[in-house]
Amino acid sequence: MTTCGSITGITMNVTVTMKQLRDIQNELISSTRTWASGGKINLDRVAELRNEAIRLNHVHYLENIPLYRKYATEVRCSGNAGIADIKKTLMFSADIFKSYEQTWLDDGDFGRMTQWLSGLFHRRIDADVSGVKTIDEWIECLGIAGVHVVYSSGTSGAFSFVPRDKSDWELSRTANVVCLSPLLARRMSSGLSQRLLASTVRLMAPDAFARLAAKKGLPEFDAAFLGFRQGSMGNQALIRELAPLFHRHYFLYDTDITGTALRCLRRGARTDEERQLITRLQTEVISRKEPNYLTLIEKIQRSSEEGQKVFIFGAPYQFKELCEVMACNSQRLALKKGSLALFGGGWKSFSGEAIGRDALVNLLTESLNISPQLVLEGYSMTEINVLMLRCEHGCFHIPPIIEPVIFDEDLNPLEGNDVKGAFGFLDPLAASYPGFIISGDHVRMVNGKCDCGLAGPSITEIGRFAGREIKGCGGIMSSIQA
Amino acid sequence: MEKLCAEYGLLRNEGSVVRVPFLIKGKLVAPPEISREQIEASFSHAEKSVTCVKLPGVQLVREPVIERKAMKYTGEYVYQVMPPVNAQWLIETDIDKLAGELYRLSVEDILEYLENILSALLKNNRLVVQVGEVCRLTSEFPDAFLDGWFASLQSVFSREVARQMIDAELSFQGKTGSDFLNGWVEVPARISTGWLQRHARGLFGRGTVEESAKSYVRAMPTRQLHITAGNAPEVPLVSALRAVLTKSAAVIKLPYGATLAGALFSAAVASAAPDHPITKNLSMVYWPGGDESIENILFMPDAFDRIVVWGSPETVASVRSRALFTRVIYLNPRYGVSLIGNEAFSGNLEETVMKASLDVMNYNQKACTSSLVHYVEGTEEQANEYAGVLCKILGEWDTGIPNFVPPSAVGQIKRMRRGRYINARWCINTPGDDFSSGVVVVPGEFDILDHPMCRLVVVRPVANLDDTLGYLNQYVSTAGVYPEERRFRLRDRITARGVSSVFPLGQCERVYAGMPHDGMRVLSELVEWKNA
Repeated sequence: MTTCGSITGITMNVTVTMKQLRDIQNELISSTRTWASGGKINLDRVAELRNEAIRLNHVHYLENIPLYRKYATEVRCSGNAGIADIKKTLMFSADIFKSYEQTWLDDGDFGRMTQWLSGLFHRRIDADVSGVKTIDEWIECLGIAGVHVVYSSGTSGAFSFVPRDKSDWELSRTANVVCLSPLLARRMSSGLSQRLLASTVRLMAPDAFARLAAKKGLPEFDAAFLGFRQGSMGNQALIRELAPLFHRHYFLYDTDITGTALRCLRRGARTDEERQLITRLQTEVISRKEPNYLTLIEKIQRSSEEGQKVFIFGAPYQFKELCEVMACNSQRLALKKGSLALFGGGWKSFSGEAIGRDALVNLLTESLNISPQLVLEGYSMTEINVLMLRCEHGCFHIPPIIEPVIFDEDLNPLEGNDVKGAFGFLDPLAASYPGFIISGDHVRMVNGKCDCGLAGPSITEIGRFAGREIKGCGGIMSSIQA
Repeated sequence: MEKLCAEYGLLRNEGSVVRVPFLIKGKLVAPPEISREQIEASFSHAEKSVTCVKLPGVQLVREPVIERKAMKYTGEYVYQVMPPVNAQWLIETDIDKLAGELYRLSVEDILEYLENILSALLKNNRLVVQVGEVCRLTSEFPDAFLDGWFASLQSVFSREVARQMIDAELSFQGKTGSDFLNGWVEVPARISTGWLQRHARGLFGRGTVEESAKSYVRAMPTRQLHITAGNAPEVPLVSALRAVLTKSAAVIKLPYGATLAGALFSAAVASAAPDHPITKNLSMVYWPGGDESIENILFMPDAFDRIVVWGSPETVASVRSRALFTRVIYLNPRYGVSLIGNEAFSGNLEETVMKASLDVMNYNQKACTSSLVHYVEGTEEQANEYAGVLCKILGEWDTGIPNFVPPSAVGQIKRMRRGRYINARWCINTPGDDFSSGVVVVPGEFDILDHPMCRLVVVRPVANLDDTLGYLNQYVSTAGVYPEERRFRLRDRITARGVSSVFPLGQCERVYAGMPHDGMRVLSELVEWKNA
């Protein structure tokens, strides 16, 4: 058995001061803002900060996250473990967030679910879950207890539940706002407001800018979300965060999506109540799909007529459906210049049908008059705290907050400036849950200066490992139609 | 056969390059000459995962070399040089020729043919051993398994086995299968004259069915495409045997990782019976699975009468979606389980566990009959005790028959331990720090897609063996049950759920000529049952 760190027993003598960690996290967010704005950053210094945050998180996890401690003890890793040890030994499969027993959900035993989730959280979760009957009620109950849970589902219907505390959640929001704003500004035409935005991002403190962004929002934009009004699953959680930023927003399905309904859909309904849930969901997304798209198109049209730009967010196949419905009804929309489309949720539906990116971009340009450079694509996952945006040269740039790790087949970290393997990451912003994660995605990662001006590692190809579940909201949503 | 192979430099390892011939409608086609340097250059820019490169006039396949003692990749490759494949060459469209020649062969002709082939293989034992040695360089199966399979070739192709397969799998109405394969057989049938006959009698005073009318049935051969899998090296040969026994105009697609046994068989038929109608209508070839330039033609309506697919979920799904108009026989990916009654704890636990380990070792967990999950009736403590004993016994197997654990399985086990099954109880054998076998006690549900299939047993404690029934379905091929009384009591309820075989614990590798496979008598599915 190998050991990592100079082990003198598992008891830690290092206590992490959260302030120290927060200071480093804030510094990393500032560097990310500078990087995203095209400014120069000292990459060595950022790497040092990142490593220090990761090391502090490691100690924090060891002290406070029971499942992390359990595994670290098994593999004899101490608080002194270095970054290389952590990468080799202490990175966890994203499946750790589904390491509960399915029967607990089947039986509605949310007491045990809470106990399990406590094992992945940095403090004991004290939530009164008596009387809780559904996943959605449970998530709400945990929210009241200060635990923000986002879930995602795969084809088997086994949900991943990722818990975050309030400060992690807010830090994540700040990081995304200050990282994405300048990146978006670069993609828009060089108008005054874009230059102002870029300058404001650069000049203001990250959290202050995030607060300002939340307050001021994007008044010249309306938003169309190709999803549900409410829900805690992957894209839905993002929709909930984004929606209030816009002057007006509307949804393809003006209803809530519940975790219970989604789970029943994958695993089968057992009660009449569950059957009704599925029927309602299927009615909305199958029987009423076209009317729902038509209603959304009407709303987009109204926004355009009122002189608003429109931001559309959804999974690629949903954009395709939107364009198909428009074509079937001989509709074309000329959205106001500067309107945006953002893809997220994967390129394959459950049926395995791959949607060609170029073809879809052309379709959007033709049907909605969205300029190809304003068709954006994000790469993210429930377990990571920042969204990676695809640049016009096809690279998903990894913000300097994140330490990416690519793994070979037997899950050893790979070194190099052009490597292919399983995508993993050490996320310094994740203090409340283990943020050292290996995903099920198979990627190609290159390191260097991109023609878009951004430097550092970026992902240029994304696939799924054979035999691993299709994940992501795109897949889940399309499965409803299968 | 040896002379033929020597003349064309086939099936021998020369500097880690093996020239592999194809059989295309009875003709042994040798690959073109290509140097080792050219081969290496062809792969030089390819990623590690690339196993096949097509060049004009030649296909190159590489298989990583495994050092047999340590059972680890050495970083070197054995390269196979193969001829190209053109799908059009493989399809037979002259049905009258088939009906007049191949389909008219008698069962005796088939048996004689097999005897000839077997005799050729036995006479050319040096070549067989030579091919066995090449297989050994790259096989993920332990040497002991390979030796066993090569030794069993003789019985697989024996006259008795062949006759028994035909007679059992094609029997009908109390008559043996040979009768129906030989030609039309009168069957005892009371012929219903039908509604129109009665009207005809009323209108015309007579019907058209005579009192003495007889009914005949025939097992008519078909044109078959077999897409085989490499999870067990004899799969291509089993497919070839089934094609031969049903007098098929057949194409056998050899799988990556098990091409050489098929090529050896090709050399045997081409040298021992070159003009035999079976040989003239048999093709054994390789192309990378999923190659649409070939498969789209072979999957066209009327190219074949039957397609047999063995393979991974991806292969089966891919064929299912493309071969829409041909009757396809799916030998789906399935797995085996063991049901251990609580009686195990009141008897000799070690002996029961040893039996259970045999079903785990069956094809090193790669076959659909290999046991992946053990349901143990008892408390969690008893399940842990069972796991401990099983882990120890698997460790002994590892010493006797060292295991090869591919990097992907190593990675998967790490993912399991650091992911969904972090709360499970792990008991693993790690001689020299590397996983060689193990047992994981999982209290809750286990997702079978997570299983790495490399001597890792998932133990699930259950309060009662009846509780396992909810987990048994059509994807479970075989259940080994202990003790026997429980097997007899449960076998109807288990098989009613889709499981094909319920055997005594430790006997899941059981096989005999004519045995149903995946709920089918496969030869019966490969012929067309005709009426006259």
